[in-house]
Amino acid sequence: MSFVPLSSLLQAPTLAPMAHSFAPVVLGDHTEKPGIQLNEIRQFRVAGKGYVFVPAVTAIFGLDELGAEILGWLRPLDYQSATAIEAVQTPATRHAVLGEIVAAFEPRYHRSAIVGAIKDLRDIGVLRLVGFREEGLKAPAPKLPPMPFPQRTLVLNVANDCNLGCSYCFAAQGDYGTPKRMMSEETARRSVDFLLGNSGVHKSVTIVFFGGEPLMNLKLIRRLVDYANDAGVKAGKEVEFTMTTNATYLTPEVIDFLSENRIGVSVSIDGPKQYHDLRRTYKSGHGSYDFIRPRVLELLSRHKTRPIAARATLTHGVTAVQECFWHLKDMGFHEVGFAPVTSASQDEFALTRDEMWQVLGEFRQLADVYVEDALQNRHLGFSNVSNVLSELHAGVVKAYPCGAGLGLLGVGVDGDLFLCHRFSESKEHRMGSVQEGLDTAKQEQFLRQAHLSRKGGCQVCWVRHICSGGCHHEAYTRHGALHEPNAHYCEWIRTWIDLGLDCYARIMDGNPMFLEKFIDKRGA
Amino acid sequence: MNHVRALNKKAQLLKERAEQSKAAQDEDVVALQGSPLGCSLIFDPGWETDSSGNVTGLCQPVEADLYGCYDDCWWPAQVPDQLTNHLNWSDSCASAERDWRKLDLIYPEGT
Amino acid sequence: MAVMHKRLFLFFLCVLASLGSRANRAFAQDPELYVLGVHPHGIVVFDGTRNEIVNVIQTRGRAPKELVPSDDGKFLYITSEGRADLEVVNLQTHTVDRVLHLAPPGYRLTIFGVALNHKGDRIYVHVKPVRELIDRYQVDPPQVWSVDVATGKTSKIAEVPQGVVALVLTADEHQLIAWGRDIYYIDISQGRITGTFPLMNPANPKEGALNTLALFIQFERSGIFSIPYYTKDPITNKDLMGLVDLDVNSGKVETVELGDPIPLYSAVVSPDRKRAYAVMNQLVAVDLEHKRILKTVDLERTRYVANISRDGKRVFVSGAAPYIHVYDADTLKLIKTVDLPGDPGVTGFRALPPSAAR
Repeated sequence: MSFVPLSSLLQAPTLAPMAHSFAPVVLGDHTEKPGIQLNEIRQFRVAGKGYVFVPAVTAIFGLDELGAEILGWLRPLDYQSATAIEAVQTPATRHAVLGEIVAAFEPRYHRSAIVGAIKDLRDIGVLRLVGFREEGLKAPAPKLPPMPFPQRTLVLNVANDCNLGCSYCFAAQGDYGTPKRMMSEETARRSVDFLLGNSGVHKSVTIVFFGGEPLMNLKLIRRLVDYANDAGVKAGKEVEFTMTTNATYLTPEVIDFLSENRIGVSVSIDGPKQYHDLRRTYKSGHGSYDFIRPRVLELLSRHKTRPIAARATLTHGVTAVQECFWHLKDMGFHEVGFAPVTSASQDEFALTRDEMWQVLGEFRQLADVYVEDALQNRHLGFSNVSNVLSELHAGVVKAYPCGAGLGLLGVGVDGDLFLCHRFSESKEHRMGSVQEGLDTAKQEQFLRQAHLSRKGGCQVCWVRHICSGGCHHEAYTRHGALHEPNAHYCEWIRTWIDLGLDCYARIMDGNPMFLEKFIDKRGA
Repeated sequence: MNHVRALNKKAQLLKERAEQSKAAQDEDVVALQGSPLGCSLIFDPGWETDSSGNVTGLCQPVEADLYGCYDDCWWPAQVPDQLTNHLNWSDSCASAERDWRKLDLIYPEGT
Repeated sequence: MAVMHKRLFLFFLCVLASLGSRANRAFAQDPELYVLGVHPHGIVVFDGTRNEIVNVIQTRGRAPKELVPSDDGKFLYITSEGRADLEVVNLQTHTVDRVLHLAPPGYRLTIFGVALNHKGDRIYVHVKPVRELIDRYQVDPPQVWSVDVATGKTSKIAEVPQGVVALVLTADEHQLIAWGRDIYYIDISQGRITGTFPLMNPANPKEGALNTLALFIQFERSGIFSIPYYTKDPITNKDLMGLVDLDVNSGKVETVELGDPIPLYSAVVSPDRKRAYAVMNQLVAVDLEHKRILKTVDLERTRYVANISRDGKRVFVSGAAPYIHVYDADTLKLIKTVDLPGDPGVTGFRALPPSAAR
């Protein structure tokens, strides 16, 4: 039956249109050669054994000889240097069909073993069979963590002042460039309430006493510890305390207080006197080593309820890592960690490129000692290695380099909230206050912009899920931009993670219980 | 798995997953996911209502939208086929809002 | 000097005229004129200085859609009959000089995107050809053609992906810019797409796709072809909107993110490029320098398209229903409502270039 318009005298044409699907014009060539294709991996050998690291999900596998040889055949190890960026496909990778690989290995291995090895490698995402509907492992799609994100740690600037004048201080010699002030009790209580109130599912929270020099406001700390313990009980949460101090205010009474209240202590000390006094001076320029040494020793002998850590900053001329390490260990510190100073490249205390690589060489030697101890079930206490082992063991896939702005916030002396303690008192990076609450719009904006997927340069780097671009403050100081990856560190970090993988493989295959005993317990 | 050893926790997860299900690979449902709103050239089902489920965000009033939308085939409304069979059904009606009485009606032939 | 004084004098008269009095045509030598199509067969010529319709030209085909004026302001090229035909409208005689049926025998065409060269002797069109076979239709790939105006002869330049709705010829006439799902740059002499600005297919798959509909083309006042876009940020899962701004002379594209989405059909950029005005159920004024929405007013009815006066002080809004509404560009207050003889539908609303003869 056909239809005609009322006003029309003509017959309508009788073509009946049929549904057609449109063939899109395809631009670009997406064809891959059929066969076996390596996914993004980093393969390495330790003591003759083969291993593979899968960056997409931070998985580490040991391989048997056949598996390692197959990978080496597809892409020879010497094509990758410790410092090279590995893209998903490098030109050096050989395309091969299954038959070719079997033919290459058949004289020495059974066909079924070869095929079995390839299947295993496929199953763990190391390679894929192209043309067989299979894909490489997908890294998790970028998205914001669920909001509101529970708070875990607050770093309180309890004293916006310091009695020392260390030349490299990121807090501008202790007061972040703002008027010297002590945090009031009211603000400190609000901070504790804020932390407990926003801790979500966390069963325990951490308060870090920071500054300036936090012990300049000991009175507040004493009161706050009591308040926080009470508040914690009421909220049904455990409250932990830690403190970073320059050690100049440590008297026996103070030490006892710290010990009784189980406050973990991190002492800022750079090594033996000749290194420490180069930078960690009073405002007069006089070194502080002689003054703090007896106090530190007193701390280490009296305070037994929590581990005491030494945090040493490496600067221009202060790169003798092993010397400093053993000196501090001999003093009695349980853990020693080293951090290269955060600097603009023209700062006089900035490490040169050569010094950075010297430091890495020293790290490597110390790491060897660490591994030897680990194989004997002893923990050396070299924090840098413990940290990287911890992340590798967990298989972290980090969208952000740290918890700043997420589960960790800095609180300024007046109660303002900042990304972390390094941004304390920086108006630009203010994210609300403990009085008004967290500015979630700002937080969301920060998290959006800081997400790893926004760092273009990181996308082809195989350590991206562990490094995630590096410290925001470091980037801000060096590059003037919060969200830039720390490009000046990239090669170094990749080499460092390579070293970490090496240590990890040796320990896991030599004494797997070590990691569970010493590293797993550390927590995120 | 004989040829690989899972070392870290992620590796364990992968190995378990691979061993449990060889064939089943979950794929994200991507159809209609993240389809951005807005009048566009992609097929956005659900133009009957706006993104809040009401009609206040649609073109108002619907008569004003008639020529804009039917003529280029934006929506499959109940109008005569203007592509092939009834190209001139609205020629007498300059403004749908004002002159709707002049719209041509289409009847089956012979009635 | 004498010429200057005369111009000033005329300017004053025009100003007087715009205050409501009927100006003597002999003196109004350079009025602001606009054209838009109306259903069923009209092109309305609208005087933007007096806010009045000065002419309605009858077209040969039904429902004019795309309108492209020639550089000298003497001709207007339009698509009609369901975008199948190209008509050459003579703006001096107010008649249609010719109709160009571009479809080869056995084909039907839909034209989405028309661009004219400076001389006015060559037209570029984006066509979607369908071949009418005995028992079915066969859809051919969309393509861009060059048309010799004098002879009507067509030649194919390049095939393009599905989804193109607008075509722009760059000032140097070497490239055609086709706006579809993405923005494609076609090198005319090479006959192929040599570049793409990604919109719906972002280069970084972790960024959201930008959804645009570049159906409303009015860039002549500013040289910026501005279209609202809608996207979902894959990280925060939030819907966002902004403007995609194409500089039609250089071909450069800039995106301006504006925040929470307001459904909008099209935008027009002010002559000084500092503001954009976008419209659908609201009229939205955008500060392009500071990249934020300045002001939003609710409209009584849906509008599709806006254009702006030469001095940037008045915004003309039309499309859908049979009116042109004139708004003050700063306050967004309605100054005048002008009735149209028919519905404009999705027609274009173009400013005519100044011309000596009217």
